[in-house]
This record gives sequence, structure tokens and C-alpha cells, in this order.
Amino acid sequence: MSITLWSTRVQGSGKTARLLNSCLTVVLILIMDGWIRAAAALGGIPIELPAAYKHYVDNTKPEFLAKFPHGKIPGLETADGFKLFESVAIARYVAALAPDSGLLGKDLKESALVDQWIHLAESEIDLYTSLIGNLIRGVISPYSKAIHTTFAQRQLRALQTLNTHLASHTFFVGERITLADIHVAMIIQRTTWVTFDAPLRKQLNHLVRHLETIINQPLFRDIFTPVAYVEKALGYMPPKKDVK
Amino acid sequence: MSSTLWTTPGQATGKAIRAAAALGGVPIELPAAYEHFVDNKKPEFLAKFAHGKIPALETADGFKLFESVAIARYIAAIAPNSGLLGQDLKESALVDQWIHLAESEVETYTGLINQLIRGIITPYNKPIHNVFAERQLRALKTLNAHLATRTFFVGERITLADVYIATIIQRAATITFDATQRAELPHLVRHSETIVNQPQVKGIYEPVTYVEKALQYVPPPKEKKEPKAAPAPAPKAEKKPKAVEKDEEEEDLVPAEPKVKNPLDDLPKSTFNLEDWKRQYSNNETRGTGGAIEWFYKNFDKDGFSVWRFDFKYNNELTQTFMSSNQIGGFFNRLEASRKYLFASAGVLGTNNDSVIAGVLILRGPDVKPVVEAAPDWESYEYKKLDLENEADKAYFEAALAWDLEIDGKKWADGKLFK
Repeated sequence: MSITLWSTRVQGSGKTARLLNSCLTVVLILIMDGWIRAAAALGGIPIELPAAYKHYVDNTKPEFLAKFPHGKIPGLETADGFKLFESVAIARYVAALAPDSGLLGKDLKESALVDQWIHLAESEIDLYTSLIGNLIRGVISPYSKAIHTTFAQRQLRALQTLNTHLASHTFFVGERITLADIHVAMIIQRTTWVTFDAPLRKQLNHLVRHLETIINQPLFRDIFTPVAYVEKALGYMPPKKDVK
Repeated sequence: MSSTLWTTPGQATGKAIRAAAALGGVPIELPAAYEHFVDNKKPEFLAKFAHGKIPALETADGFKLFESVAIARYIAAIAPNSGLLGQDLKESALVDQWIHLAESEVETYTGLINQLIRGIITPYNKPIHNVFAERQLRALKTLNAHLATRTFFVGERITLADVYIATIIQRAATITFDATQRAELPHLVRHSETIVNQPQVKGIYEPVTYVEKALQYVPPPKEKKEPKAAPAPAPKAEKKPKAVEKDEEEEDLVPAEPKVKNPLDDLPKSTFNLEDWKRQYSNNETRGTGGAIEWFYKNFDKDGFSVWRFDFKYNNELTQTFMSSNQIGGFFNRLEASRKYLFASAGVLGTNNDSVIAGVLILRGPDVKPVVEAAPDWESYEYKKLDLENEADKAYFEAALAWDLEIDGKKWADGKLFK
């Protein structure tokens, strides 16, 4: 069985960096896409990307909206016509199709813990990476330093909880890679471009170790971009004056 | 075997979990006296749940879990016959999909907007508020359009997606989901009302006061203010958010419970000590010499306390006895605020699809209402004062305490205590 994943593809860090500077949202999509494909690679589920998907063009077309009414990617379509959107739901589904992969843990309790860590990282880290990214790039305006700081503090609290957990665990759940490791690593990778700067990395060294371990799995090499850390958390970038 | 769920009665995510447990027939208990922002900071709580966050679950065998969606999904998964996760893997993925959309694009912004207008995220910033509201509306529209042709989100039966989204909508209805939006998105209103009024989840959701207009930022009063002779009129109070409490994270959002002095505390002092009774009941045989009932008759003060029979009004809706037992557990949980004034023993009598719920209350004061109305579903039960001089009443009272009560040939199957 093959699966079509509606999403964008990017290769190479240079391109990622350029995209990051122009539009953080696209990077979010790329990364979320990245970890779904990583999960599929590990479970041995073949996934195809559509030949020429153009974001913000194709996903606003009626034929796309007929499949995915929220117009959001990633979107998944299986050979028998089943359609699914929302990245976590897709990744969980793909992982469940490959039960031998152990991506959802080895029993119901481990599976619940996988959900737990993903949910924590999504709702308290990735959310703030997005909001901070939106703020510093003027997607949400006007910029407010105080709100930026609040978001960064909330994110740090969750980063600390994850780091503490990893101080005594190689992986988030059990003794093998699960979806939680892939998802959290990707969320952390997103933070390395925005907030997770050198002082933080020193303080949260277990998270760094975990990220590097996951990203460097041979199976994932073609999917993830190499880690490129910010030295200092990005600050507000005032928009350039329109010079004609 | 019962699991413990740390939450507060008003916490939306906790309600979703409790509703899933009620629908799945999974018994969960709420801790006797959890105080948020106090108990979750204690070392013994943090030892179990390192992030210090509620809702949090601990099962009878010591398994610990936090993050509301993870808990709700786990509860649903241990009750596979409930259908809460759909009929197959695909339906289960669609359940995840709708929950994820509603959480990340509706609930997130309800939380952020609420924090902005209440000054928890400062300074208030109207354009940012607007961006959040627009993002939320986009997702509400997608959900509403999906429901235009469907009763439930996935398949033909209630799933966790329905429970979760209804809870999220109920919360939005107190903050952002105002009359204008409700007129535009009628299917969402219909859906959430249908779900929260399911008989199985009765009592978990208090009736929602829909906002007429989305709540707006209210600037804090200036510090130096001339004392005004007349207090502000009522209309202003309506808009004012409930007492601002520390609200550092979305999952913590709980309406403040007003600390009102309970009129029951003003009753004349009684010689009967309810706490002593609870100890007697717990530590001794119920019947017989030296038993709890003997102690009761020696010490009871019928002027300061009264004894009541209560019967569930909707016994014909009861199916599995373990679910009925859950129903009692839920009622007792919701009576938490009256713990100082109440002891109760209740049972499920009969067999599956042919059972009744009945019990006995020992409570402070001459009236039942001031004590039981702490539970929003108190009116689901009928109450009758017992006269312990009357032989029939007395026999009922003792049997309900001793858990050997029989009604119309239905034998005591399972019991619960409130003490």
C-alpha cells in the first residue's frame, strides 16, 4: 500500500535557512512533514509526495479543499481514498499501520506516555516557537517585548521538564525509539532556529544529546536537515522600510 | 479498581476526561481535597507528576499520566467497547484529527485570549487579540461546516472527538463564542448541547452561561480612586471576569470558586460529631454490639442533623451496574463542597439492565437542599426524610448503612460511601 502525503519538500540546510528567513510558517510545515516521513521510514510504510505541490497555491484550490476542507497541510490520502489531516493524527495513524515498529510503544500504557510527551511538547514548546516566530517576524503585530518574554518563559518551563526526564532516560518512553522521540526532536529542532540558543543548550544538555541522537539515525538522513543552532535567541526584526 | 484523576470541578479538560470515563464506564475518583496551585506545587505531587500540571491520572496499579488528551485517549482505549475511539484505525485517526484541530486552533486561542483580557498576559494588545480571534474563527467554521451534514464528528456514534470538542466549545461559549458567532455557526451549538446533555455525563457540565458579546479587555481600576458612595451597578459585574487568579497555563484555567460563608455553619452547635461518626463507621462493624449503628443511636442529635433516603429518578435509564456505580461515584465527587456536613452510603441494587440506585444521607440541619445542592445534578434524585422512630424507615436506614438493603427483590450489588 502506498500513501500520498500532500506537503512540501525541502533539501539541504541552505534552502531551509533561506526559507526560514522568508517565512517561518513554511518551515513549520516542512518540519512537521519531516517527522511524519521519518515515522513512515522507520515503520517501513511507503509514502509518496505529490509531484509538484505548491503551498498557498494548490491548497487553496477547490479540488484540494474538497479533500481537505481546512486547507491545511500536511494532508494524507491513502490508496483506498481515506483522507486525514493534522500532523499528529497522521503520524499516529502511520505508526499504527506498522505495529511492529514499536513507534507507539509496546502496550497501551506506553502508548499513552507517547501521547503525553508529544502533547506536552506541542502545547507548551512548539506553540510558543510559532507565536514567538510570528511576533519577531511581524506576522503578529505590533511586536511586544513583554509578551515575547512571557511566551519564552513558558516554553522554558516545558523544556526543563523534558530535559529532566531525559537526564535518566535515553528515549522518552521505554528502551526504544517511539513517535515521542521523533516528534519532540523535531520540535526541538525548530526551537534551535529561534529560541534554543547557546546558554539554553548548556543548561539543557540532555535535550541536545537526544536531538542529535534522533536526527542522526541513518534512516532519517534524507529527511531531516542537519542541526543548525542559533547562537543567540532571535529578537524582533523590524520590517525593512519600503525602498523603491 | 479505580483510578484517581487530579483536576478541579471547573477545569474544562478535566470535564472531557470525566465525560469520557462516564461514557466508557471507567471508574475514576477525584481526590478528596485537591487545592490547585497549592497541592500541585508540593513535593509529593511533583514526585508523581514532574511538570506539576493537571489533569493528572494515577491508576490503581500506580501508572501515572498527565496531559489531558493523552489521559482521555487512554481512558477511551481501556474501554474499547465504548466505541469512543471509533470502529477501526481509520475512525480512530479521524477522532485524533478533529481533536487536534479543535485543540490547536480553537482551545489554544480561547486560552490566550482569556489571558490577554484578564491581564495574565500583559500588556493588553488589541491587534494581537484580533489575530487570535480570527484564527479561532477559521477553525470554528471548518468544524461547523463538517457538522452541517453530520450528527457526530466521526461515524454514527459518540466518540472522544465529540466529547472533547463539545467541552472546548462550552468553554469558548463563556469567553469568545458570542451570539453573533453562534448565529453563524448553529451546528456547533446544536452539537455541543447534544453532547453535554447526554444522560451519562449529567452533572459533569454545569449549565453554561453563553456570552452575549465576546468578553473584552477591562482595564484594571486606577489605584488611586475616590471612594464612590454607590457601588457599580449590576451590568458591569456581568462583564467582569471572575476573580483573577494566577493562570499560568491553559490547562490550569479554572473559574474561581467564590469563598462564601456557608449558612450551615451558623446552625446552633450540635452534640453529634459527624467526623466521629465517619470514624466509627469506617473502623467498626456496622451492625451488632459495639457496631457503628449502636454508636449512632447513642450519639445522634436529631435537632442538629437529619437522616434522608434518596432514590435516583431515572432508574429506567440505567444499564450496566458498574456504570450505575460510576454514576453514584460522580454524584459523590460533586458533593465535595459539602463534605463537612454530609455522610452518605448508596448502592446499586439489581442486575444489568434492571437496577436501581438508592441510599441514605446523614446531614447537617433539618433540610436536604442546602447540603446536596453543591452537586449540580442533585435534582436527579428524590429525597425523603426518614423518621428513625418509624420501624420501616429505621430498617431502611440500617440496611443502607450495612449494604444489605433490598428493594422489590433487587439485591445490593455494589456500594459507594461519601465520608
